[in-house]
Amino acid sequence: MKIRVKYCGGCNCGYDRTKFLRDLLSYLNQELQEDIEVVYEEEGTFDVGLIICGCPACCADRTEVRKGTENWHVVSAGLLDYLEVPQSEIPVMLGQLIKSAREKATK
Amino acid sequence: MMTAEEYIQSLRELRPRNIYLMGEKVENPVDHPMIRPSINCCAMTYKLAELPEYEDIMTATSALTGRKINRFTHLHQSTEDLIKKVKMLRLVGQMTGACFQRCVGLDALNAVWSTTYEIDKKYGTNYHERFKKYVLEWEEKDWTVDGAMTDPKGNRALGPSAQADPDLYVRVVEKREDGIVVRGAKMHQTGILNSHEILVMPTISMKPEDKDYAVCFAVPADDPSLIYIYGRQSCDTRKLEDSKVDVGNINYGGQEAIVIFNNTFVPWDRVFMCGETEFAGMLVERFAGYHRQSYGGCKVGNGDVLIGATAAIAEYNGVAKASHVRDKLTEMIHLNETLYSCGIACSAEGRKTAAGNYLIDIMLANVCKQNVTRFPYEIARLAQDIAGGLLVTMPSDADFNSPEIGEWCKKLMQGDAKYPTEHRQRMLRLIEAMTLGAVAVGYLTESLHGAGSPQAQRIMIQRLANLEAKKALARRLCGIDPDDLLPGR
Repeated sequence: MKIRVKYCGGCNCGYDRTKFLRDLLSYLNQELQEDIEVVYEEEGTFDVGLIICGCPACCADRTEVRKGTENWHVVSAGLLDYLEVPQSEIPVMLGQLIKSAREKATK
Repeated sequence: MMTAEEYIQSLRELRPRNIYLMGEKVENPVDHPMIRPSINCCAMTYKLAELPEYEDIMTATSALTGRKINRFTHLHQSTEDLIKKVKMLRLVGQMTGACFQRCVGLDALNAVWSTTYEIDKKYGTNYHERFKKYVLEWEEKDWTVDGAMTDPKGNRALGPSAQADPDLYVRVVEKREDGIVVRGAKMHQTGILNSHEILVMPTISMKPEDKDYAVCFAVPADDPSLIYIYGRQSCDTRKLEDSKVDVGNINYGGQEAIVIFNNTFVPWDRVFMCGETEFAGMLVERFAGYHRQSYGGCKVGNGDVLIGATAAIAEYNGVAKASHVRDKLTEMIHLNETLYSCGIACSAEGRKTAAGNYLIDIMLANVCKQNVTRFPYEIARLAQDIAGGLLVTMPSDADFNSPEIGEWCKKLMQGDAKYPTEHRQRMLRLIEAMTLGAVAVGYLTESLHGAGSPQAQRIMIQRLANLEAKKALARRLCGIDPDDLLPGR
Protein backbone atom coordinates (compact mmCIF):
# COMPACT_ATOMS: atom_id res chain seq x y z
CA MET A 1 0.00 0.00 0.00
CA LYS A 2 1.30 3.39 -0.96
CA ILE A 3 0.64 6.29 1.40
CA ARG A 4 1.30 9.85 0.33
CA VAL A 5 2.17 12.10 3.25
CA LYS A 6 2.01 15.87 3.17
CA TYR A 7 3.11 17.70 6.30
CA CYS A 8 2.19 21.29 7.10
CA GLY A 9 5.10 23.66 7.62
CA GLY A 10 5.27 22.92 11.34
CA CYS A 11 5.38 26.51 12.62
CA ASN A 12 3.61 25.88 15.92
CA CYS A 13 2.97 22.20 16.45
CA GLY A 14 0.65 21.07 19.18
CA TYR A 15 2.06 17.55 18.91
CA ASP A 16 4.90 15.55 17.36
CA ARG A 17 3.82 14.94 13.76
CA THR A 18 6.56 12.45 12.91
CA LYS A 19 5.78 10.41 16.01
CA PHE A 20 2.14 10.43 14.97
CA LEU A 21 3.09 8.92 11.60
CA ARG A 22 5.30 6.31 13.28
CA ASP A 23 2.40 5.32 15.56
CA LEU A 24 0.03 5.08 12.62
CA LEU A 25 2.44 2.96 10.59
CA SER A 26 3.09 0.72 13.55
CA TYR A 27 -0.67 0.10 13.85
CA LEU A 28 -1.09 -0.52 10.11
CA ASN A 29 1.91 -2.86 9.98
CA GLN A 30 0.26 -4.97 12.68
CA GLU A 31 -3.19 -4.92 11.13
CA LEU A 32 -2.53 -5.20 7.40
CA GLN A 33 -0.85 -8.13 5.68
CA GLU A 34 1.00 -6.06 3.10
CA ASP A 35 3.99 -3.79 2.71
CA ILE A 36 3.44 -0.10 3.30
CA GLU A 37 5.35 2.46 1.34
CA VAL A 38 5.35 6.09 2.46
CA VAL A 39 6.04 8.70 -0.20
CA TYR A 40 6.40 12.44 0.07
CA GLU A 41 6.46 13.29 -3.65
CA GLU A 42 3.20 14.64 -5.01
CA GLU A 43 3.41 13.03 -8.46
CA GLY A 44 1.79 9.64 -9.16
CA THR A 45 -1.11 7.74 -7.67
CA PHE A 46 -1.52 6.51 -4.11
CA ASP A 47 -3.85 4.34 -2.08
CA VAL A 48 -4.16 6.83 0.76
CA GLY A 49 -3.26 10.48 1.19
CA LEU A 50 -2.46 11.93 4.62
CA ILE A 51 -2.27 15.62 5.42
CA ILE A 52 -0.58 15.87 8.79
CA CYS A 53 -0.93 19.29 10.37
CA GLY A 54 0.44 20.69 13.59
CA CYS A 55 -2.51 22.87 14.56
CA PRO A 56 -6.25 23.09 13.81
CA ALA A 57 -5.75 25.67 11.06
CA CYS A 58 -4.76 22.68 8.84
CA CYS A 59 -3.08 25.05 6.41
CA ALA A 60 -1.64 22.19 4.32
CA ASP A 61 -5.13 21.01 3.36
CA ARG A 62 -5.27 22.68 -0.02
CA THR A 63 -7.00 21.63 -3.24
CA GLU A 64 -3.71 21.25 -5.10
CA VAL A 65 -2.45 18.82 -2.46
CA ARG A 66 -5.44 16.49 -2.73
CA LYS A 67 -4.51 14.64 -5.91
CA GLY A 68 -3.34 11.13 -6.80
CA THR A 69 -6.10 9.46 -4.76
CA GLU A 70 -9.70 9.99 -3.69
CA ASN A 71 -8.87 8.73 -0.24
CA TRP A 72 -7.48 11.68 1.71
CA HIS A 73 -7.48 12.23 5.46
CA VAL A 74 -6.51 15.30 7.47
CA VAL A 75 -5.15 15.09 10.98
CA SER A 76 -4.13 17.76 13.42
CA ALA A 77 -3.86 18.25 17.16
CA GLY A 78 -7.16 16.78 18.38
CA LEU A 79 -8.76 16.66 14.93
CA LEU A 80 -9.40 13.80 12.56
CA ASP A 81 -11.03 14.89 9.31
CA TYR A 82 -12.12 18.02 11.20
CA LEU A 83 -14.01 16.10 13.89
CA GLU A 84 -12.78 16.69 17.43
CA VAL A 85 -11.33 13.48 18.91
CA PRO A 86 -8.78 12.78 21.67
CA GLN A 87 -5.28 13.20 20.25
CA SER A 88 -4.01 9.92 21.68
CA GLU A 89 -6.72 7.96 19.87
CA ILE A 90 -6.15 9.39 16.40
CA PRO A 91 -3.48 6.90 15.16
CA VAL A 92 -5.74 3.93 15.92
CA MET A 93 -8.94 5.63 14.69
CA LEU A 94 -7.30 6.65 11.44
CA GLY A 95 -5.66 3.21 11.15
CA GLN A 96 -9.10 1.61 11.41
CA LEU A 97 -10.49 3.91 8.72
CA ILE A 98 -7.61 3.07 6.37
CA LYS A 99 -7.88 -0.63 7.17
CA SER A 100 -11.61 -0.84 6.48
CA ALA A 101 -11.25 1.16 3.23
CA ARG A 102 -8.41 -1.14 2.19
CA GLU A 103 -10.43 -4.25 2.93
CA LYS A 104 -13.34 -2.93 0.89
CA ALA A 105 -11.04 -2.06 -2.02
CA THR A 106 -9.35 -5.47 -2.12
CA LYS A 107 -12.58 -7.50 -1.88
CA MET B 1 -32.65 41.47 2.78
CA MET B 2 -34.57 43.91 4.99
CA THR B 3 -33.93 47.63 4.86
CA ALA B 4 -33.36 49.52 8.10
CA GLU B 5 -36.87 50.96 7.86
CA GLU B 6 -38.38 47.52 7.27
CA TYR B 7 -36.46 46.19 10.25
CA ILE B 8 -37.91 48.83 12.56
CA GLN B 9 -41.36 48.18 11.14
CA SER B 10 -40.88 44.44 11.74
CA LEU B 11 -40.30 45.16 15.44
CA ARG B 12 -43.57 47.10 15.54
CA GLU B 13 -45.34 44.07 14.08
CA LEU B 14 -44.23 41.69 16.84
CA ARG B 15 -46.98 40.52 19.17
CA PRO B 16 -47.28 42.51 22.43
CA ARG B 17 -44.46 41.53 24.77
CA ASN B 18 -44.17 41.54 28.55
CA ILE B 19 -41.44 44.17 28.84
CA TYR B 20 -40.70 45.91 32.14
CA LEU B 21 -38.49 48.98 32.50
CA MET B 22 -38.01 50.84 35.79
CA GLY B 23 -41.01 49.10 37.31
CA GLU B 24 -43.43 49.83 34.50
CA LYS B 25 -44.73 47.74 31.64
CA VAL B 26 -43.65 49.13 28.26
CA GLU B 27 -46.37 48.93 25.64
CA ASN B 28 -44.41 50.52 22.79
CA PRO B 29 -40.71 49.65 23.08
CA VAL B 30 -39.86 50.84 19.55
CA ASP B 31 -40.56 54.49 20.39
CA HIS B 32 -39.46 54.41 24.02
CA PRO B 33 -36.72 57.06 24.41
CA MET B 34 -34.56 54.78 26.57
CA ILE B 35 -34.85 51.85 24.15
CA ARG B 36 -34.91 53.51 20.74
CA PRO B 37 -31.16 54.33 20.57
CA SER B 38 -30.39 50.62 20.81
CA ILE B 39 -32.86 49.92 17.99
CA ASN B 40 -31.20 52.59 15.85
CA CYS B 41 -27.91 50.90 16.60
CA CYS B 42 -29.08 47.45 15.47
CA ALA B 43 -30.78 49.03 12.45
CA MET B 44 -27.32 50.16 11.32
CA THR B 45 -26.53 46.51 10.50
CA TYR B 46 -29.37 46.68 7.96
CA LYS B 47 -28.69 50.21 6.73
CA LEU B 48 -25.06 49.62 5.82
CA ALA B 49 -25.98 46.41 3.98
CA GLU B 50 -28.20 48.49 1.67
CA LEU B 51 -25.34 50.73 0.56
CA PRO B 52 -23.12 49.72 -2.37
CA GLU B 53 -20.06 51.24 -0.73
CA TYR B 54 -20.32 48.71 2.11
CA GLU B 55 -21.74 45.76 0.18
CA ASP B 56 -18.54 43.73 0.04
CA ILE B 57 -18.24 43.62 3.81
CA MET B 58 -21.87 43.80 4.88
CA THR B 59 -23.27 41.10 2.59
CA ALA B 60 -22.28 37.58 1.63
CA THR B 61 -23.38 34.77 -0.66
CA SER B 62 -25.44 32.21 1.21
CA ALA B 63 -23.81 28.79 1.46
CA LEU B 64 -27.32 27.29 1.48
CA THR B 65 -29.13 29.13 -1.31
CA GLY B 66 -26.47 31.04 -3.25
CA ARG B 67 -28.46 34.21 -2.66
CA LYS B 68 -27.12 37.54 -1.43
CA ILE B 69 -27.68 37.81 2.31
CA ASN B 70 -26.75 40.11 5.16
CA ARG B 71 -23.40 38.92 6.54
CA PHE B 72 -24.95 38.90 10.02
CA THR B 73 -26.87 35.78 8.92
CA HIS B 74 -23.95 34.05 7.19
CA LEU B 75 -22.29 30.69 7.83
CA HIS B 76 -18.57 31.42 7.47
CA GLN B 77 -17.23 29.54 4.45
CA SER B 78 -13.56 30.48 4.66
CA THR B 79 -10.99 32.30 6.73
CA GLU B 80 -11.67 35.26 4.45
CA ASP B 81 -15.26 35.24 5.70
CA LEU B 82 -13.99 35.23 9.30
CA ILE B 83 -11.76 38.21 8.53
CA LYS B 84 -14.60 40.05 6.83
CA LYS B 85 -16.74 39.50 9.88
CA VAL B 86 -14.17 41.33 12.05
CA LYS B 87 -13.97 44.14 9.51
CA MET B 88 -17.76 44.38 9.41
CA LEU B 89 -17.96 44.66 13.20
CA ARG B 90 -15.30 47.36 13.25
CA LEU B 91 -17.23 49.28 10.59
CA VAL B 92 -20.56 49.10 12.42
CA GLY B 93 -18.79 49.98 15.68
CA GLN B 94 -17.40 53.08 14.00
CA MET B 95 -20.79 54.11 12.66
CA THR B 96 -22.62 53.71 15.97
CA GLY B 97 -20.01 54.23 18.68
CA ALA B 98 -21.93 51.68 20.70
CA CYS B 99 -22.89 48.01 20.91
CA PHE B 100 -25.04 47.13 17.89
CA GLN B 101 -26.03 43.75 19.36
CA ARG B 102 -26.40 41.62 16.26
CA CYS B 103 -23.07 39.75 16.42
CA VAL B 104 -24.32 37.51 19.20
CA GLY B 105 -26.82 35.84 16.88
CA LEU B 106 -24.20 35.41 14.16
CA ASP B 107 -21.88 33.75 16.65
CA ALA B 108 -24.64 31.46 17.93
CA LEU B 109 -25.56 30.56 14.34
CA ASN B 110 -22.08 29.33 13.50
CA ALA B 111 -21.53 27.57 16.83
CA VAL B 112 -24.84 25.69 16.76
CA TRP B 113 -24.35 24.78 13.09
CA SER B 114 -21.14 22.82 13.68
CA THR B 115 -22.11 21.41 17.07
CA THR B 116 -25.44 19.96 15.91
CA TYR B 117 -23.60 18.26 13.05
CA GLU B 118 -21.25 16.58 15.49
CA ILE B 119 -24.05 15.55 17.85
CA ASP B 120 -25.87 13.90 14.94
CA LYS B 121 -22.67 12.19 13.83
CA LYS B 122 -22.38 10.57 17.25
CA TYR B 123 -26.00 9.86 18.11
CA GLY B 124 -27.80 9.66 14.77
CA THR B 125 -30.15 12.48 15.83
CA ASN B 126 -31.49 15.02 13.31
CA TYR B 127 -30.71 18.29 15.08
CA HIS B 128 -28.55 19.55 12.23
CA GLU B 129 -31.28 19.09 9.63
CA ARG B 130 -33.74 20.91 11.89
CA PHE B 131 -31.27 23.69 12.41
CA LYS B 132 -30.62 23.94 8.69
CA LYS B 133 -34.34 24.55 8.09
CA TYR B 134 -34.28 27.19 10.81
CA VAL B 135 -31.22 28.87 9.27
CA LEU B 136 -32.88 28.99 5.86
CA GLU B 137 -35.75 30.93 7.40
CA TRP B 138 -33.31 33.09 9.37
CA GLU B 139 -31.44 34.05 6.19
CA GLU B 140 -34.62 34.53 4.18
CA LYS B 141 -36.30 36.76 6.75
CA ASP B 142 -33.04 38.51 7.65
CA TRP B 143 -33.78 38.11 11.34
CA THR B 144 -31.92 39.62 14.21
CA VAL B 145 -31.49 36.67 16.57
CA ASP B 146 -30.54 36.93 20.21
CA GLY B 147 -27.97 34.26 21.08
CA ALA B 148 -28.88 33.54 24.70
CA MET B 149 -26.23 31.84 26.78
CA THR B 150 -25.71 33.26 30.28
CA ASP B 151 -27.88 31.74 33.02
CA PRO B 152 -28.30 33.39 36.44
CA LYS B 153 -26.04 30.58 37.81
CA GLY B 154 -26.86 31.08 41.53
CA ASN B 155 -24.14 29.48 43.60
CA ARG B 156 -21.18 29.40 41.20
CA ALA B 157 -19.59 26.54 43.13
CA LEU B 158 -22.49 24.26 42.22
CA GLY B 159 -23.54 22.81 38.88
CA PRO B 160 -26.98 23.34 37.31
CA SER B 161 -28.69 20.34 38.86
CA ALA B 162 -27.22 21.01 42.33
CA GLN B 163 -28.69 24.51 42.75
CA ALA B 164 -31.13 25.11 45.60
CA ASP B 165 -33.46 26.82 43.13
CA PRO B 166 -33.76 24.86 39.87
CA ASP B 167 -34.77 27.98 37.92
CA LEU B 168 -31.23 29.35 38.08
CA TYR B 169 -30.36 27.47 34.88
CA VAL B 170 -32.67 27.03 31.88
CA ARG B 171 -33.98 23.47 31.85
CA VAL B 172 -36.51 21.14 30.30
CA VAL B 173 -39.44 20.68 32.70
CA GLU B 174 -41.60 18.56 30.43
CA LYS B 175 -41.15 16.48 27.29
CA ARG B 176 -44.22 16.08 25.15
CA GLU B 177 -44.93 14.34 21.89
CA ASP B 178 -44.98 17.67 20.07
CA GLY B 179 -42.11 19.40 21.88
CA ILE B 180 -40.60 20.44 25.20
CA VAL B 181 -41.49 22.91 27.92
CA VAL B 182 -38.60 24.96 29.29
CA ARG B 183 -38.20 27.11 32.37
CA GLY B 184 -35.50 29.46 33.67
CA ALA B 185 -33.89 32.71 32.58
CA LYS B 186 -31.01 34.20 30.65
CA MET B 187 -29.20 37.28 31.95
CA HIS B 188 -27.43 40.21 30.23
CA GLN B 189 -29.21 39.62 26.92
CA THR B 190 -27.73 42.16 24.56
CA GLY B 191 -30.29 43.46 22.08
CA ILE B 192 -32.93 40.91 22.98
CA LEU B 193 -35.81 43.40 22.64
CA ASN B 194 -34.53 44.26 19.19
CA SER B 195 -34.56 40.62 18.08
CA HIS B 196 -37.09 38.57 16.16
CA GLU B 197 -35.95 35.25 17.60
CA ILE B 198 -34.08 33.89 20.61
CA LEU B 199 -31.60 31.04 20.20
CA VAL B 200 -30.91 29.52 23.60
CA MET B 201 -27.72 27.60 24.41
CA PRO B 202 -26.33 26.05 27.60
CA THR B 203 -23.93 28.26 29.54
CA ILE B 204 -21.33 25.77 30.83
CA SER B 205 -19.96 22.26 30.32
CA MET B 206 -22.30 19.74 31.87
CA LYS B 207 -22.19 16.39 33.59
CA PRO B 208 -24.57 13.45 33.05
CA GLU B 209 -26.71 14.55 36.03
CA ASP B 210 -27.37 17.88 34.24
CA LYS B 211 -29.20 16.21 31.35
CA ASP B 212 -32.31 18.42 31.66
CA TYR B 213 -30.13 21.51 31.40
CA ALA B 214 -28.26 20.48 28.25
CA VAL B 215 -30.76 22.11 25.96
CA CYS B 216 -30.51 24.28 22.85
CA PHE B 217 -33.63 25.67 21.21
CA ALA B 218 -35.17 28.65 19.44
CA VAL B 219 -38.35 30.58 20.22
CA PRO B 220 -39.91 33.68 18.68
CA ALA B 221 -39.02 36.77 20.71
CA ASP B 222 -42.74 37.59 20.99
CA ASP B 223 -43.72 34.27 22.55
CA PRO B 224 -46.39 35.23 25.11
CA SER B 225 -44.76 33.18 27.90
CA LEU B 226 -41.62 35.33 27.92
CA ILE B 227 -41.02 38.12 30.43
CA TYR B 228 -38.38 40.79 29.84
CA ILE B 229 -36.78 43.02 32.48
CA TYR B 230 -34.75 45.90 31.05
CA GLY B 231 -31.32 46.56 32.56
CA ARG B 232 -30.38 50.00 33.83
CA GLN B 233 -27.37 51.79 32.42
CA SER B 234 -25.28 54.56 33.86
CA CYS B 235 -26.90 57.97 33.11
CA ASP B 236 -29.76 56.22 31.26
CA THR B 237 -32.47 58.70 32.28
CA ARG B 238 -30.65 61.48 30.43
CA LYS B 239 -32.36 59.93 27.40
CA LEU B 240 -35.67 61.09 28.89
CA GLU B 241 -34.59 64.74 28.99
CA ASP B 242 -35.72 67.25 26.35
CA SER B 243 -32.19 68.05 25.17
CA LYS B 244 -30.13 65.14 23.88
CA VAL B 245 -26.78 66.94 24.19
CA ASP B 246 -26.06 65.51 27.64
CA VAL B 247 -26.60 61.95 26.36
CA GLY B 248 -23.33 62.25 24.43
CA ASN B 249 -23.99 59.63 21.77
CA ILE B 250 -27.31 61.15 20.86
CA ASN B 251 -28.87 58.52 18.58
CA TYR B 252 -27.21 55.21 19.34
CA GLY B 253 -26.74 52.96 22.36
CA GLY B 254 -26.70 49.41 23.66
CA GLN B 255 -29.28 47.33 25.44
CA GLU B 256 -29.28 44.47 27.94
CA ALA B 257 -32.27 42.72 29.47
CA ILE B 258 -33.18 39.63 31.43
CA VAL B 259 -35.47 37.16 29.69
CA ILE B 260 -37.57 34.74 31.71
CA PHE B 261 -38.84 31.51 30.18
CA ASN B 262 -41.98 30.99 32.19
CA ASN B 263 -42.88 27.44 31.11
CA THR B 264 -42.24 28.15 27.45
CA PHE B 265 -43.31 25.56 24.90
CA VAL B 266 -40.82 24.73 22.13
CA PRO B 267 -41.87 22.45 19.24
CA TRP B 268 -39.38 19.69 18.37
CA ASP B 269 -38.41 21.33 15.08
CA ARG B 270 -36.92 24.17 17.11
CA VAL B 271 -34.98 21.92 19.52
CA PHE B 272 -31.31 21.52 18.60
CA MET B 273 -29.91 19.73 21.66
CA CYS B 274 -31.79 17.90 24.36
CA GLY B 275 -29.82 15.96 26.92
CA GLU B 276 -26.50 15.42 25.09
CA THR B 277 -24.52 16.77 28.03
CA GLU B 278 -21.05 16.06 26.58
CA PHE B 279 -21.72 18.48 23.71
CA ALA B 280 -22.67 21.42 25.96
CA GLY B 281 -18.98 22.20 26.45
CA MET B 282 -18.29 22.14 22.72
CA LEU B 283 -21.15 24.53 22.03
CA VAL B 284 -20.08 26.91 24.80
CA GLU B 285 -16.45 26.84 23.70
CA ARG B 286 -17.28 27.53 20.07
CA PHE B 287 -19.83 30.26 20.77
CA ALA B 288 -17.47 31.92 23.26
CA GLY B 289 -14.62 31.61 20.77
CA TYR B 290 -16.58 33.34 18.02
CA HIS B 291 -17.77 36.00 20.43
CA ARG B 292 -14.25 36.63 21.70
CA GLN B 293 -13.23 37.16 18.08
CA SER B 294 -16.13 39.62 17.67
CA TYR B 295 -14.70 41.90 20.32
CA GLY B 296 -11.58 42.31 18.18
CA GLY B 297 -13.86 44.12 15.72
CA CYS B 298 -16.71 45.97 17.44
CA LYS B 299 -14.68 47.38 20.35
CA VAL B 300 -12.02 48.51 17.91
CA GLY B 301 -14.68 50.42 15.96
CA ASN B 302 -15.85 52.02 19.20
CA GLY B 303 -12.22 52.74 20.04
CA ASP B 304 -11.84 54.55 16.71
CA VAL B 305 -14.70 56.84 17.75
CA LEU B 306 -13.18 57.49 21.18
CA ILE B 307 -9.75 58.19 19.71
CA GLY B 308 -11.37 60.59 17.23
CA ALA B 309 -13.29 62.32 20.01
CA THR B 310 -10.12 62.63 22.08
CA ALA B 311 -8.13 64.09 19.18
CA ALA B 312 -10.97 66.55 18.56
CA ILE B 313 -11.24 67.67 22.19
CA ALA B 314 -7.46 68.17 22.26
CA GLU B 315 -7.92 70.62 19.37
CA TYR B 316 -10.89 72.33 21.05
CA ASN B 317 -8.82 72.66 24.23
CA GLY B 318 -5.88 74.09 22.27
CA VAL B 319 -3.46 71.33 23.28
CA ALA B 320 -3.36 69.23 20.11
CA LYS B 321 0.27 70.05 19.42
CA ALA B 322 1.56 69.27 22.91
CA SER B 323 4.01 66.38 22.59
CA HIS B 324 2.55 64.39 25.50
CA VAL B 325 -0.95 64.68 24.01
CA ARG B 326 0.28 63.40 20.66
CA ASP B 327 2.11 60.59 22.40
CA LYS B 328 -1.01 59.61 24.35
CA LEU B 329 -3.07 59.57 21.16
CA THR B 330 -0.41 57.36 19.58
CA GLU B 331 -0.64 54.99 22.54
CA MET B 332 -4.44 54.86 22.20
CA ILE B 333 -4.10 53.99 18.50
CA HIS B 334 -1.46 51.36 19.26
CA LEU B 335 -3.69 49.68 21.82
CA ASN B 336 -6.72 49.79 19.55
CA GLU B 337 -4.88 48.37 16.55
CA THR B 338 -3.40 45.64 18.72
CA LEU B 339 -6.95 44.49 19.48
CA TYR B 340 -7.74 44.55 15.77
CA SER B 341 -4.62 42.51 15.04
CA CYS B 342 -5.84 39.85 17.44
CA GLY B 343 -9.27 39.77 15.79
CA ILE B 344 -7.70 39.38 12.36
CA ALA B 345 -5.17 36.80 13.57
CA CYS B 346 -7.69 34.43 15.14
CA SER B 347 -9.71 34.67 11.92
CA ALA B 348 -6.78 34.11 9.56
CA GLU B 349 -5.80 31.05 11.58
CA GLY B 350 -9.35 29.70 11.58
CA ARG B 351 -10.26 26.21 10.43
CA LYS B 352 -12.96 24.26 8.72
CA THR B 353 -15.32 22.28 10.93
CA ALA B 354 -16.71 18.85 10.07
CA ALA B 355 -20.00 20.61 9.24
CA GLY B 356 -18.21 22.75 6.66
CA ASN B 357 -18.37 26.21 8.20
CA TYR B 358 -15.28 27.89 9.60
CA LEU B 359 -14.25 28.28 13.21
CA ILE B 360 -11.75 30.81 14.56
CA ASP B 361 -8.51 29.74 16.23
CA ILE B 362 -9.67 29.29 19.80
CA MET B 363 -6.34 30.14 21.45
CA LEU B 364 -5.92 33.39 19.51
CA ALA B 365 -9.58 34.34 20.04
CA ASN B 366 -9.06 33.96 23.79
CA VAL B 367 -5.89 36.05 23.62
CA CYS B 368 -7.89 38.66 21.68
CA LYS B 369 -10.61 38.84 24.30
CA GLN B 370 -8.08 38.84 27.17
CA ASN B 371 -6.57 41.99 25.69
CA VAL B 372 -10.06 43.45 25.22
CA THR B 373 -10.61 43.08 28.98
CA ARG B 374 -7.75 45.55 29.52
CA PHE B 375 -6.96 47.85 26.60
CA PRO B 376 -10.28 49.75 26.33
CA TYR B 377 -9.84 50.75 29.99
CA GLU B 378 -6.41 52.21 29.22
CA ILE B 379 -7.75 53.89 26.09
CA ALA B 380 -10.59 55.35 28.18
CA ARG B 381 -8.13 56.54 30.87
CA LEU B 382 -6.05 58.33 28.27
CA ALA B 383 -9.19 59.88 26.75
CA GLN B 384 -10.17 61.24 30.16
CA ASP B 385 -6.63 62.43 30.76
CA ILE B 386 -6.63 64.51 27.57
CA ALA B 387 -10.28 65.65 27.92
CA GLY B 388 -9.66 67.19 31.35
CA GLY B 389 -11.77 67.37 34.49
CA LEU B 390 -14.54 69.34 32.85
CA LEU B 391 -15.65 65.95 31.54
CA VAL B 392 -17.33 65.32 34.87
CA THR B 393 -18.03 68.83 36.17
CA MET B 394 -19.61 70.52 33.17
CA PRO B 395 -23.07 72.02 33.76
CA SER B 396 -26.08 70.49 32.04
CA ASP B 397 -27.30 71.56 28.64
CA ALA B 398 -30.28 73.12 30.39
CA ASP B 399 -27.85 75.51 32.10
CA PHE B 400 -26.25 76.38 28.77
CA ASN B 401 -29.72 77.30 27.51
CA SER B 402 -30.84 79.14 30.64
CA PRO B 403 -31.70 82.81 30.09
CA GLU B 404 -30.12 83.66 33.46
CA ILE B 405 -26.83 81.74 33.36
CA GLY B 406 -26.51 80.46 29.80
CA GLU B 407 -24.16 83.23 28.72
CA TRP B 408 -21.92 82.57 31.73
CA CYS B 409 -21.74 78.87 30.77
CA LYS B 410 -20.87 79.66 27.17
CA LYS B 411 -18.24 82.23 28.21
CA LEU B 412 -16.53 80.06 30.82
CA MET B 413 -16.67 76.79 28.91
CA GLN B 414 -15.03 78.12 25.75
CA GLY B 415 -11.72 76.67 24.56
CA ASP B 416 -9.84 77.56 21.38
CA ALA B 417 -11.93 80.36 19.87
CA LYS B 418 -11.77 78.64 16.47
CA TYR B 419 -14.33 76.13 17.74
CA PRO B 420 -17.85 76.83 19.03
CA THR B 421 -18.28 76.13 22.73
CA GLU B 422 -21.18 73.86 21.89
CA HIS B 423 -18.82 71.59 19.95
CA ARG B 424 -16.61 71.31 23.02
CA GLN B 425 -19.67 70.61 25.14
CA ARG B 426 -20.92 67.86 22.78
CA MET B 427 -17.51 66.21 22.38
CA LEU B 428 -16.96 66.11 26.14
CA ARG B 429 -20.37 64.51 26.58
CA LEU B 430 -19.52 61.86 23.99
CA ILE B 431 -16.26 61.02 25.79
CA GLU B 432 -18.16 60.97 29.07
CA ALA B 433 -20.79 58.61 27.60
CA MET B 434 -18.14 56.25 26.28
CA THR B 435 -15.95 56.17 29.36
CA LEU B 436 -18.41 56.36 32.25
CA GLY B 437 -21.90 56.92 30.87
CA ALA B 438 -24.43 54.76 29.06
CA VAL B 439 -22.10 53.71 26.25
CA ALA B 440 -19.40 52.63 28.72
CA VAL B 441 -21.66 49.70 29.53
CA GLY B 442 -20.69 48.33 26.13
CA TYR B 443 -17.24 49.79 25.71
CA LEU B 444 -15.85 49.00 29.15
CA THR B 445 -17.75 46.58 31.38
CA GLU B 446 -18.96 44.51 28.45
CA SER B 447 -15.35 44.39 27.30
CA LEU B 448 -14.46 43.01 30.72
CA HIS B 449 -17.25 40.47 31.22
CA GLY B 450 -18.97 39.99 27.86
CA ALA B 451 -18.13 36.70 26.10
CA GLY B 452 -16.72 35.54 29.41
CA SER B 453 -14.84 37.26 32.22
CA PRO B 454 -11.03 37.50 32.08
CA GLN B 455 -10.46 34.34 34.09
CA ALA B 456 -12.48 32.30 31.58
CA GLN B 457 -9.99 33.26 28.87
CA ARG B 458 -7.00 32.56 31.09
CA ILE B 459 -8.31 29.07 31.78
CA MET B 460 -8.66 28.45 28.03
CA ILE B 461 -5.22 29.91 27.29
CA GLN B 462 -3.68 27.68 29.94
CA ARG B 463 -5.55 24.63 28.66
CA LEU B 464 -4.67 25.16 25.02
CA ALA B 465 -1.02 26.10 25.48
CA ASN B 466 1.25 23.10 24.98
CA LEU B 467 3.75 23.69 27.76
CA GLU B 468 5.37 20.29 27.27
CA ALA B 469 6.26 21.19 23.68
CA LYS B 470 7.69 24.51 24.83
CA LYS B 471 9.76 22.75 27.52
CA ALA B 472 11.12 20.37 24.89
CA LEU B 473 12.26 23.37 22.82
CA ALA B 474 14.17 24.68 25.82
CA ARG B 475 15.66 21.29 26.73
CA ARG B 476 17.11 20.86 23.23
CA LEU B 477 18.72 24.28 23.17
CA CYS B 478 20.40 23.99 26.56
CA GLY B 479 21.77 20.52 25.85
CA ILE B 480 19.52 18.39 28.05
CA ASP B 481 18.00 16.76 24.97
CA PRO B 482 19.97 15.86 21.83
CA ASP B 483 19.83 18.33 18.94
CA ASP B 484 18.99 16.28 15.87
CA LEU B 485 18.95 19.35 13.67
CA LEU B 486 22.57 20.37 14.31
CA PRO B 487 24.70 20.11 11.12
CA GLY B 488 27.49 17.53 11.29
CA ARG B 489 25.84 15.30 13.87
